Amino acid sequence: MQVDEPLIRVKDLSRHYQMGGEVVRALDGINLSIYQGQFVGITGPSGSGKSTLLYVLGGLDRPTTGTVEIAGTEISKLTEDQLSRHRGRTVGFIFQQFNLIATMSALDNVAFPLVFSGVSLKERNERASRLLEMVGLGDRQKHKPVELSGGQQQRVSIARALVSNPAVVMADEPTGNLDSKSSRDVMEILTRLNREEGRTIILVTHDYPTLQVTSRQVLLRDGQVVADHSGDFRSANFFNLQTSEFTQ
Amino acid sequence: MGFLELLRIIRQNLIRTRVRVMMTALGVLIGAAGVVLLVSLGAGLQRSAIQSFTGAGDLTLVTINNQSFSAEGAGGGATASGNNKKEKLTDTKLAEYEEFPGVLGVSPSVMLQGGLLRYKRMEGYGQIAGINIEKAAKFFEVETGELRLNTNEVVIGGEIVNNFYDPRTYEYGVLAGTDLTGKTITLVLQRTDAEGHYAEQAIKLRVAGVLKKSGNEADWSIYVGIKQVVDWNTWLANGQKKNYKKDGYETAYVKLDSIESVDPLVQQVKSDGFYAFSPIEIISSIKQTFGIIQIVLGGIAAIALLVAAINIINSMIMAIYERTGEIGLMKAIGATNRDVMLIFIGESASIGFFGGIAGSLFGLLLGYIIGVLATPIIAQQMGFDPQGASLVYTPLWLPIFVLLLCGTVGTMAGVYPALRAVKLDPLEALRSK
Ligand SMILES: Nc1ncnc2c1ncn2[C@@H]1O[C@H](COP(=O)(O)OP(=O)(O)O)[C@@H](O)[C@H]1O
Ligand SMILES: [Mg+2]
Repeated sequence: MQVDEPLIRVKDLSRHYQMGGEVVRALDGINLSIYQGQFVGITGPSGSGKSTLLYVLGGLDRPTTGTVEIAGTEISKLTEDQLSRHRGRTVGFIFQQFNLIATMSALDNVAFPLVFSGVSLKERNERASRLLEMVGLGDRQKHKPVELSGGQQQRVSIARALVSNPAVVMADEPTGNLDSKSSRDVMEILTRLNREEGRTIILVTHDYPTLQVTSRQVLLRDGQVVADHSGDFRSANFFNLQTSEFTQ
Repeated sequence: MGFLELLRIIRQNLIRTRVRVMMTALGVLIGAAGVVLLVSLGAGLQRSAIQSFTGAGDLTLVTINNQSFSAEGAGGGATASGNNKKEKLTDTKLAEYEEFPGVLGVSPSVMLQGGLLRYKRMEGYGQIAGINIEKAAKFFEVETGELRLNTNEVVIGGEIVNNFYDPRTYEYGVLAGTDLTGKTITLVLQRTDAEGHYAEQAIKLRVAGVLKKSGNEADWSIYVGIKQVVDWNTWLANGQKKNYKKDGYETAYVKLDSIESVDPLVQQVKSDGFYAFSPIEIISSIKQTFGIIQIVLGGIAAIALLVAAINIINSMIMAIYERTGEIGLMKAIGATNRDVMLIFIGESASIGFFGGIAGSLFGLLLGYIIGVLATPIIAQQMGFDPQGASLVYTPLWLPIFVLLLCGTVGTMAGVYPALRAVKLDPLEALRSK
């Protein structure tokens, strides 16, 4: 599935936080290329920099040093508003906390990103409606988030992440708040998106079983990539070596 | 994000946060209703005051006086300084005023320095003034009879009939209801010369017409041809004749075509060094007084609007606090700072605007109710006739002004909260809760 040019190219990336007098190196010299159509699982122990990496890749956070190039755009060169537009066009986010707007219906939540990219109301609702069908919530369009289960809410947010047809879907522990049945549903949808539509997905998780569906696994520790493996990770024995890292 | 899209999202946001929006708009509503109601009340009181005054005076009549005491005698409306230019109110000067824009007619007026009226066995009195006969028609309108001032003819004010009394009993109003038109009254002049010789002269005068009541001094006056009054005054002064041609008159009346023409003339007269009196000046001082009352009332209500503005700011800050996650999400899915800014300012402006609409309507309604219920009571207590008009009067500009004001207040109140929303870091905002 790999193409020659990577969709995302990360060079010497670091992200440091100033905490009082101390510098926290959340990311510390990352080099990484992610290709179109990959289903990348980013994993590692808590505090290893998984979320930070995801948000820097997605343009929600900026690198301290180094460069992130995504779909041909060097994002550290963008102004704040250009970065916002870039996020709206290129990235679809899925959050652990769903981050749905409580006072909006499922349909409005899904259609919301298109408000900022100038898509007509009619087309917004059509696309949102189709995506809700796709995640199995065609009959829940008018429901508010509180009227939906956690798994259903996360499926709404998957639909929202897809609505602007982004180049890459980024999910930060999307199953972290779900029971195992809902988790399986969500992972099944993501797998299908990758396998059937060829969507590029970056999934942050420290949940061992969720990694089973990914096509590539990147292991972080202390802000550095310590392992990067493509293919079925069960066949790779490095994870067996690393499982002690997981504090599930 | 286009303008229509912006309006749509603002509308959606207002609807989905309607409880907060309504509570906040209620504050604006109260302020706006207060402004509309109180300013309308001030305007209504002003209108009533002017109306009850205009019923009592000819607004397009200016009285010119050469001396300050007679100006003060005319009702306290004179405001000029002393006659420092030493100009005289001569026929030449009056002819100049005759040419002034808007002037319909000018007449000098000479007062009779004494005299007593008799009608049958009754005695009476009145201000006897000699005026220019040809100009009389410009100044007066008769109720009965004719406006004609041939020799020994008079035109009398509508109240003169009530100035007669029975000299034996001093009972007044003995002629009330009598129509004097066409009747003959007698003017008795009495003098004592330097040697103490007493003399009396009785002149029979025919009442040619009775004037329409105007509410001003004309009601209490008797008008005669100016030449006769000059002659009588000469007789009363034992033959000493005043030279009006050379020394000028003490008083003159100027009739104008419209209220707008009054002020330029008054300014001219004052700059010539005379005193000018016009009911318009009283009206403008009424306007000034009530203007202040309106500002005070409006100011009280504006404080309510200020409170409403603070309330909006507070509410918007709360909204931004509550919707932090939503703001983070908006930024994550492509909203620019401008989008966020416009959305929150738009919500705030809408609260102001809709509060303003509701408040204006509510203020109008309250004003109407108060007008209907309270006008008769207040009018009775203050002792005037509202003549069918409400004490509450809303000028058209008022609700429009209040609406714009509320919209502006809402917009301004939204700026600071919106800036806070813009400043939120998307990632931190997303992680809040
Ligand atoms: N906003 C922040 N301010 C300070 N330190 C932060 C901030 N965000 C993350 N960190 C630190 O960076 C490191 C990596 O965090 P994170 O990427 O959230 O880890 P993970 O998602 O792998 O659990 C942690 O030590 C964390 O405390
Ligand atoms: Mg994390």
